[in-house]
Order: sequence, then C-alpha cells, then structure tokens
Amino acid sequence: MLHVEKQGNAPLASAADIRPLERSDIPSVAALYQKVLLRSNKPAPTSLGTYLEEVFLDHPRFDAELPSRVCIDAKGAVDGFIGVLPAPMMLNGKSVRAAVAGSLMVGNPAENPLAGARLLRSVRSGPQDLSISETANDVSMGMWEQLGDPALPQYSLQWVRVFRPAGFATAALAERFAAARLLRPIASLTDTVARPLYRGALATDEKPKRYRLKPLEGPELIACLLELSKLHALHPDWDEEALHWMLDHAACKRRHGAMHSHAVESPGGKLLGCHICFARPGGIAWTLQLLAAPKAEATVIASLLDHAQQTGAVAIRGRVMPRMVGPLMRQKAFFLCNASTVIHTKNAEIQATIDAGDAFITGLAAESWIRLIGDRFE
Amino acid sequence: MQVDVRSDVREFIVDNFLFREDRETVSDTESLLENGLMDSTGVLELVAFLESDIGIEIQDNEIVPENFDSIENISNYANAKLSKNSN
Repeated sequence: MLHVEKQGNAPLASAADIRPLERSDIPSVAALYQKVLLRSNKPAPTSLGTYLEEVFLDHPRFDAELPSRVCIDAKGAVDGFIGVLPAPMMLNGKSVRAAVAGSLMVGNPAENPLAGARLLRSVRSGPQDLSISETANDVSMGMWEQLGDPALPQYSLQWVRVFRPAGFATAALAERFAAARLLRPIASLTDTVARPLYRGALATDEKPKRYRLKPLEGPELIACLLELSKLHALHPDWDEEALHWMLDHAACKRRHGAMHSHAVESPGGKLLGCHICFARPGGIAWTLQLLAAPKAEATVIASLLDHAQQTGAVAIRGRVMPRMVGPLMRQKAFFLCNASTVIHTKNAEIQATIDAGDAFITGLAAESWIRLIGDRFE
Repeated sequence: MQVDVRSDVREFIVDNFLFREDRETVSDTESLLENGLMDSTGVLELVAFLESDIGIEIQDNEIVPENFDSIENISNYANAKLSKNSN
C-alpha cells in the first residue's frame, strides 16, 4: 500500500502521525523526557510536566504556527517529541521569524524508526524564516546534516578557562559521580602547592583593570541586554516582558550555582558589555551570556574571568560567539564541542550574516536559558 | 516511458547501508527498518537521495514505513511519484 499524498486530497492514513503539542500530552511528554533524555526509570516529577507546559505552551511569545510537535504511534500514544521555542529576531531593521528546536526524543525508536526524522523535518519545513538548534547531540546533528544543514563551528564550540587544574578535574568528575566531591580538599591542596608550576600557563592578565563591574538585575539588566544585543546585525527582537520571563526561568537553574549578572563599564561609565554566569565555590562556573561592544571583547572576557575566580570557581565555561574566539584564545581558554549549533534558512541574507559571525543566535537568543538544559527536576 | 528506479534504489541501499551492518546482500522485500539497516538518520539520507538524484519531492507525511521499509516499497513509492509527476 502506497502512502503518497494525492493532489487535492488529504494524505492517506499512516502508521504514526505528527501533530502540534496539546496540553493533554504534557504528562506523556514528561514521562518520555524522563525516560529518554534523563535516562531514569523513576516516574517523571510533577515539576517537570509543569515546566514543559510553561515553556512550550505558555511562552509569552507563543506562536501557534510554530508549535512543538509530538509523534503519535500506531496505538495512539505519544512516542516522540520536539520542542519549539518562538524566537522573533531582527536583521537590519527587518523582522525575522525564527524558531528554536530542541529536546528531540523518541521513546521506542525500534518500533517507530522514522519518528525522529519526521519530527525534525516537520519543524524544519515550518513557516519560519530561520530554524535554530543550539544543543544538537550527535544523533540529531546527524539528521540535520542529512537534511543539508551542517553544524556551525563558530557558534558551536564550548570554551573552558581553567583556574585551578586539580579542582577542575575534581569538579568535572563530580558532575558525573557525586562522590568525587570528597576529593575537593585534596584537589585544593594540590592546586595551592602546585601553583608555582603552572603559574605561567594559567596566569590571568595582570594589567591594571580598565573596567568596573556593576551588578545588574530587573529592568537595568533587561535594558543592558536590549542595548548590547542590537550590536549584532541579526539579533533577538525581545520585548521586555518576554525577556523578563526568560531571565526568571534562567535564575531558577541551580546546577552550576547562583546566577550572577553584571554590566561591564569603562572607568568613565561607558557600557562595554555584560555577562550572566552561574557560579559556586569549588565548581565549574557556566556562562549563559557574554555580550560586548566592538573592540571591548577582551576587557569584558577578562572581567568575567576575574569575577568567576572571585566567586571561588575552579574554572569557567561557555558557548563561543564568533567575535569572542580570539580574545578567549589569548586568555588561554581551550575549546571543545559537546553539542552543536545548526541552522536552516532559505534566506541568503540571513545565511550570509550568520556565516559572517554577525549574529546573536545562542544563549538567551536560543534555548540555553531553559531549565531543561543543565538543570535538575526534583 | 516510465523509468524503473529499483536498480538505483538498490545500489544506494547497498552502498550506503549494508556496509555499516557488515552484510553483503538484501532482498527486495526485506524490512530495512525491522532489521536495523536504516534508522531516522538513514531515512533522511535516503530522502535526500530520492529528492536530489531521482527528482521526486517528498512530503513529511509520506515518510512512513509503508513507503520506506524495503527496496520494493521505496521503488514502488518513487515510481508512483514519478508517474504522478509525468501525468
């Protein structure tokens, strides 16, 4: 039996179907998330379902034409999901309709082997001008590549700057094995004793500071992000309500410590940049957002590294933005890739802008702010 | 005159999917999905081949096992699409 869409008629029935996420699907999607992405046999906590509903159905910029999708199997059960976040953007004064796709998962790929492909194609072929995936793992990246969309290295690499090597090794291990935290006192002693040995390799810039840090929150933080985001040709078209909502979500993430938000200003009070990071003593700090005015990248990065060290973090990491790669290299960061940024667009101007590195399409502009990325649900 | 794409489909399947499973042959009716020869990534590779090399346009809701599960099904599906395009 062939399943070919006939002209003017609805497609013939198929074994599985893709349709927009509905509120009644949330418990099933939470269970799927718990099983597939968290690899847990325990029932999904209620808080996970509540969170999925809030992020994917109650987003302040929710766009019914850019819905998250579920795959319904032959028995009528939810067996696949792809989350979609609306991400309105601006390019040289023109509106760009963007959708951020993530959390692609299939419960029983052996029984439903085409579900992942159909979910991804369904989102990619939507009405948006630009599709973005910021955290594509190897499997989903393989699918994007088969669709003709390669990873973007200049937006994909993670940077890591180590301050205390033994502490970093211990903290990295503790992210997988909690018992490794017991090694912290030994690591701390090792770093103190061995400091003279790697001072040259890891020393931060000793030049006098040419900046001042100003803690930011609420309307001041929002105003700062709005101002700095516009320094990229392609940037989020945030409104204050949506940005406030996203920052509130981000602030709930606790895995890497408390959220710290700062403006970086010149001694004369000129805005040079801002950063939002999560840090705790003895941990690896995580950078959600790093934005800098042109030619101020090195200063803003130096201020972030200084701040992270002052919190007691043993290292700090984040996602590169093209303008930041050079200054990060000079700050002795190293680079690795554990999730890829990939985009799809048929618009040549959007593609050229992203290829040129003049796009703000990661972090708060994409999906790193949601708790599904690097947080726990109890 | 309608061209049968079966040999092209077979060649693509053999060249791209069989070597990964260390197999030498596959029958026209053998299930590619049930036997693990093709997964979601593989089907997208096949879709790209059918669209670019065979010249058919595939709708999302046509990517179903009934159309993509075996060389025979894929060939019948592609031939039907080509036939529809030529009418």
